[in-house]
Amino acid sequence: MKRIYLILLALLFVVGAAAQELVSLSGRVTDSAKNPIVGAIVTLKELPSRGSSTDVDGRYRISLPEGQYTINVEYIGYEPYEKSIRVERKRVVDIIIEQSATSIDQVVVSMNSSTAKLQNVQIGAEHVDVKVLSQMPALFGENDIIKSLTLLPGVKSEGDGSSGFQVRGGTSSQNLILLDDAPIYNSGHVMGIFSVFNDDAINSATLYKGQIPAMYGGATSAVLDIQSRNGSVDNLAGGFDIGVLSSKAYLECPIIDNTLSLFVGGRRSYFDLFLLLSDEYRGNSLYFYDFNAKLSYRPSDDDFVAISYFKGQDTMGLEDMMDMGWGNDALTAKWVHRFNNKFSAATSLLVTDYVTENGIDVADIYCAYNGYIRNYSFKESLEYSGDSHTLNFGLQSTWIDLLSAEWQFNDYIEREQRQALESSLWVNDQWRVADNLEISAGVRLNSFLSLGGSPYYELDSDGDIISTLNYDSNSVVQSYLQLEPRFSLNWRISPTQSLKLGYSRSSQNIHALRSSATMSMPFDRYAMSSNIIKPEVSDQIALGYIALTPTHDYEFTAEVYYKYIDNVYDYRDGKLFNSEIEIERLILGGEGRSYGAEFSAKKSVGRFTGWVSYTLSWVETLIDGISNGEWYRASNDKRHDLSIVALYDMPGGWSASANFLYNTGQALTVPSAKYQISGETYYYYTARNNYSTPDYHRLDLSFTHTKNRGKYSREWTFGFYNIYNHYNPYIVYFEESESSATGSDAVQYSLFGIIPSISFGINF
Amino acid sequence: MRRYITLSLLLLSLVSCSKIIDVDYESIDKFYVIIAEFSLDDGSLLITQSCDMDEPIASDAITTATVALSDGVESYPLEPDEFGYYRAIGQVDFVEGRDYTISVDIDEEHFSATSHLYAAPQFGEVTFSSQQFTADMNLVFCTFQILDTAGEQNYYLYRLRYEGKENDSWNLAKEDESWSLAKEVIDGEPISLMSHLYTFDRELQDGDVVSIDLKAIDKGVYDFLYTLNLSSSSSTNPTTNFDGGCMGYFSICSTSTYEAVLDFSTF
Repeated sequence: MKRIYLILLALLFVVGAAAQELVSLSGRVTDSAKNPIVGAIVTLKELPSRGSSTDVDGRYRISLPEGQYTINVEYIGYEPYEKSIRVERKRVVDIIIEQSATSIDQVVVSMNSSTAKLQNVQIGAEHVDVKVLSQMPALFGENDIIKSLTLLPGVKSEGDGSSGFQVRGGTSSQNLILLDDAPIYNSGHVMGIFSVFNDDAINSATLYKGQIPAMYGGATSAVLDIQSRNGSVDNLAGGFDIGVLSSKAYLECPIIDNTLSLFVGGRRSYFDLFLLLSDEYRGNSLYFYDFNAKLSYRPSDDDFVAISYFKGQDTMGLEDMMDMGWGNDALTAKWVHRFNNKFSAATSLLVTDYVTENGIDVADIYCAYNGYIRNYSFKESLEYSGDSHTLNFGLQSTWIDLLSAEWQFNDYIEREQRQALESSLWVNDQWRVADNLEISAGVRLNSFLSLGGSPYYELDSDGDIISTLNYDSNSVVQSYLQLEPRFSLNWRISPTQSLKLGYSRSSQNIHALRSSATMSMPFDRYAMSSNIIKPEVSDQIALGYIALTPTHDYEFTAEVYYKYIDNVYDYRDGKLFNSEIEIERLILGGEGRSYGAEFSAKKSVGRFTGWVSYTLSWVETLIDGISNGEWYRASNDKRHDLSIVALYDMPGGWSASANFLYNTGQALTVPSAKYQISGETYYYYTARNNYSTPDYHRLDLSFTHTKNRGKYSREWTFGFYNIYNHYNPYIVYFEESESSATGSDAVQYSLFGIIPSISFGINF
Repeated sequence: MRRYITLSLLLLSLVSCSKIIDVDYESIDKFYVIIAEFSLDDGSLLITQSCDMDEPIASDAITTATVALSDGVESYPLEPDEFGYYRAIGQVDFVEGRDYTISVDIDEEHFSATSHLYAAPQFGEVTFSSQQFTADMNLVFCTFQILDTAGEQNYYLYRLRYEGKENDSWNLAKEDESWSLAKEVIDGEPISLMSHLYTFDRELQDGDVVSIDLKAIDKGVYDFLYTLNLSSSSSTNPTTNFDGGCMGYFSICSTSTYEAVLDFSTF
């Protein structure tokens, strides 16, 4: 023990001594319109290990010894910036970078992500390049940030027709998706075929799939942090895009030059216009739309205020007899204030409202199925940037009003609604221990209070109600306190190699129970932790290695991980989402584990770029009362997952891209026997998820032609989803068949064969 | 309904397809399936066996079992008839409010189940209405009341018939379920339920006789039938009320029937 103290003291001495010799170089990176550039890499030619990436306000900060340096800034889609500067004492250098004139430069700058990944202390953090996203093939021609994530190692698609993604054995319901800090609970349009995020309105997106920074909570699998786009502060800009099934447009403009700006963007599908062509379907509705607006105000260099609003809505109706609608509203008001060069604060008010409303009105009988999640949050996040330490701390408090379900049958209404208060404190220190060693260590303290005002229950082992517990409104029914340590270490073995280690504990108090095994539906139910449902808690440890070639042309990564989750919930045998209104009667709790290895190779420079990623993984669940109380494959268990992405920039304004995806089939419950009752054949199951669906694979191609004409550019995009028309499994079910020798058939139902698409867009 | 389904799947049906795939099924030991259904004036028990997924379904009855029905006082042996259905040899005096137990012994295996015989449920008000659902489909809706017995959780089975033909399989209902039409379910108050008639061969006409069959069942029977209905969609096995490791259920109940003649002019 004495030796450890001595080593620690020596380490502190070295760090302290080093700190005394360092000064700070800081500033802000913006585009020519003064929009902050988020995630740009700022490096020094003479000190390649001392780089920094810009934050959400475009700020960077580097501690370094006094001297003469060459500062470089790189960001995808922008001209590389280089300037010689003299640094004595602290120095502030604001940098404006110019957008690239040609698309080839967009690809060149994409090497930023490799440099950033090497330098980022967070293991398993993936910054999504929105520019690259727009070049990739897309279903029905709709660029989709969620689908592009599934091409990354360790991230898997839920399947065709789903906007969900699965990270390291987690389900999509264990992810937290934030849009300007506000949670989005159902991120799919048209039952999940499209995501609700319009790429025109996105400024940046970061996926945390490994160690989650302490400022984030509420997800046991991954956090996707999406920041929306600020409007231009000095000129009018906009664009539109006309696609096969939907169109979108955006406009950004200064209201007060360099001070106040507005961005508005929207998208709407027009399936319903096709319905008008048919006499039979004319009275029906089937469409989605989303809308983004952001007002950005920068009254001074030290203050930034933004109010952003998002609305996404789906509607499906059958004349005046049936109506289904679901959607998200998210409102964020955020004020960022910089007290001085080292200390800043971000204050946010957040409102999220996810609502699903479905009704049938036939023969004077009215049936409805409704639900919602409403969040009202206050968040204060503070950051102190010292020479070697960046300290982030804050608090967040959220009032949650959750209607798990409301079922109406004429005048009779059953509903389960609960309220809760969730509050968190966090502190995280990012410590540059040495030039080649950086540590991020933090802790999050999460308090969850289930509140009275609605019934709670005591259940027997069969899920039947023993007694109903009634508490006064807003009285505390049950409280949970979770201490969640977070740790990550980045040891840069050489200027082009680093080794990372991470540990993360996180908890989740809003639990989603899918109504369908294959996709997000308006009937999905949500439940909060209560006297019966415990918070889901995950512990994950990961080890990673990243290497770049000396010229940074190629990047190679490998990560291994093990994750254990306590209090995972699954349906009891013989229960579905609508079996009982009391959701706690439908489910049983247990534990889960996942482990695996992820590998990727990426080429970032040149006309031809792309990457290959491969994941080998296992996901298992153990719940007493399900599958004989033994470990069984989780429904999202897929052993092998391979993605290949290729982008090629051709002369004459053409670019081409291709994706190839392959994964072994996901877990499937296959019957082991059959029997008859009253002439009907039924199947007998010995274990849950005891088989795999056929393997999934497809190839997508996309060709884009861009032409610049002065201030305008126009773009034609031709896409082919699933070019070789392979029908992938969507649902597999079993049925009796007279034509079958065995009398039984396993039938695979597939969604998409080859889908060609074309879109035309103009930007100015 | 057809248009609703078509609309819901409009996008997907543009490109979707289905095909039969090969599955390497596990083979397990065969198990017995016992269906024992008794009413006040009739009843039988049928024993069959499961079969592997890759062999044709076999419905051959097992006739070598020893079967007995007991009310706790008397025991009534059952013998198989020519079709393999076990029936009581003599007259069984069923008494409402009593528990009955059936026991089955086959090849040193013993299975037993208990079911409670409730009094026949009583109908309250019954009304009919109709709705043109689609251009070529006119549905007749039937709303009926069950006079609920106070002081206990009650479970029911019901079905509609027209002109003596079965309209649909049996539907399950329980006292506190959401599909009751009442604003608030009160123990002992009438429970209102609704069902609809559809006909494949012809439109319903004035003068057609419509029947409602209604049974009061116990929780074990309800749980089995409920989980059996969900078996395919949830990929789980039904909850049998038999002990001993077989599949199936034992039900004893009485049936009430309401008959009405359709008169469209009153809708």
